[in-house]
Amino acid sequence: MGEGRGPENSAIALDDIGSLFDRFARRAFRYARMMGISEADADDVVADSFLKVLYTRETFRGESELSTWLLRIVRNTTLNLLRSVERRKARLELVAKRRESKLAGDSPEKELERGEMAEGLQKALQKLPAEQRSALSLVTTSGLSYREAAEVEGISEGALASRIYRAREALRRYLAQTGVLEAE
Amino acid sequence: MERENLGELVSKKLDGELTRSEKQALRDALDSDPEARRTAEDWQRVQEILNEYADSLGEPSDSTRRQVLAFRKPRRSRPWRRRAVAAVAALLMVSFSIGVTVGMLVSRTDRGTVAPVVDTSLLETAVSETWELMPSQVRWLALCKGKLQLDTAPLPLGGDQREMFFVSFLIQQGKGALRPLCQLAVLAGQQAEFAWEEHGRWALRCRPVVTDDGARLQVCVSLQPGEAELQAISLTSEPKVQTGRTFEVASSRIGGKRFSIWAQVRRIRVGSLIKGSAL
Repeated sequence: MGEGRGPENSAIALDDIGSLFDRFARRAFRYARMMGISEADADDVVADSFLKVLYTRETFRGESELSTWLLRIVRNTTLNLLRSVERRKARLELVAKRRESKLAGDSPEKELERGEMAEGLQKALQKLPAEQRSALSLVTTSGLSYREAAEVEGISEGALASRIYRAREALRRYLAQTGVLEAE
Repeated sequence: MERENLGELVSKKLDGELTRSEKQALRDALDSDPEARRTAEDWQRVQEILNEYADSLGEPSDSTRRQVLAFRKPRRSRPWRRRAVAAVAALLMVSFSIGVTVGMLVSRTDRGTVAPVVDTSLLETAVSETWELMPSQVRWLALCKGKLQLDTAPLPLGGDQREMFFVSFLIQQGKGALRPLCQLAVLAGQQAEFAWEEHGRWALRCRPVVTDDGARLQVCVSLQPGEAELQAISLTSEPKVQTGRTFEVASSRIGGKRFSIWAQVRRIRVGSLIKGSAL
């Protein structure tokens, strides 16, 4: 089972779920986190998404790429969760846990600096409209091409490029205003 | 070149999406316009920060993988005896482990000595062993999820003390007797593993999550009646509950019969100095 199109990709066997999980769970998790979902809820998004994959795998006809099909499920699950969270006016947990391995050996100053940047970025990301955040996340953290991300979002490639541009510009402006860019 | 056009080109460059003509146009703009170069450098920096941020977002937990894989295989019918043995063994194991832990706490308290922080690995082991006993053939679906509001203030805690919650789940058919399904222990501010239990024709999963202030408990409950279709059960919306009392968390009508899930929460204080624990 590959990522390409074609009839050989049109069926997802039950035994493929483990390898699918290994290939896509990390991307799905990071997409959900980028969208402002807490770690515990991002785990739920991943689990729910893969359960949907399990139950709807027969509907995958290979007309789109596997990664596109799967990330569309992840995107919809994430947006549904965000909507329900907003409805309940629950606070989103937005504490970025830095990977310990990455921090090993760093000086406290560097650690603090990285923490401040992550915090600044979280705030900036939360100010973006969800569709811009989603487009940016699909491309930068989930590794989709513009064509694939546009398919997930159901928009043209041009519109996607424009959303990503606007998201980046807003982030740049915010990070410049808050001094994060200058700090480097 | 207009700033917006330049921005889009830089953005596409960062994503490796430039066409050949766009590459040339961008190169020309960067060569001739210092402002454009500064913008491109800023954007490069934003991208680096984004990448660092993405790296810090963490990974899905191992239990999520196990959960997904557990759903993978279609349910096979098993002899009732094996199911009963598995259910009883799971209950005994969890009860034994919790009993040992509580016993340890109480004995330390009686002696009035300084006790070490409770060894939560014991509880984790109990939970993971429950997991191992979970029949992997069972197809699960998260059906409902809700929050229970504890109607009492958090326990007053000493410096390094923590609250620990013991949650017992029970099932009732109609107005019949409550029968135990499973028990879980979780520290305030943490999330327990899923507990799984198969009980006759039903199966339950639950995952209590206790918030840092120890005031809320989030529970996921799924119920699958044998080979029949998955049935949604409605979780009572944020019921106020008191520790030590049994309260209904969910109910469903399956095959013309009503089934209810009940829960009971107990709290204790754990830490290096344990004073009068079980509530």
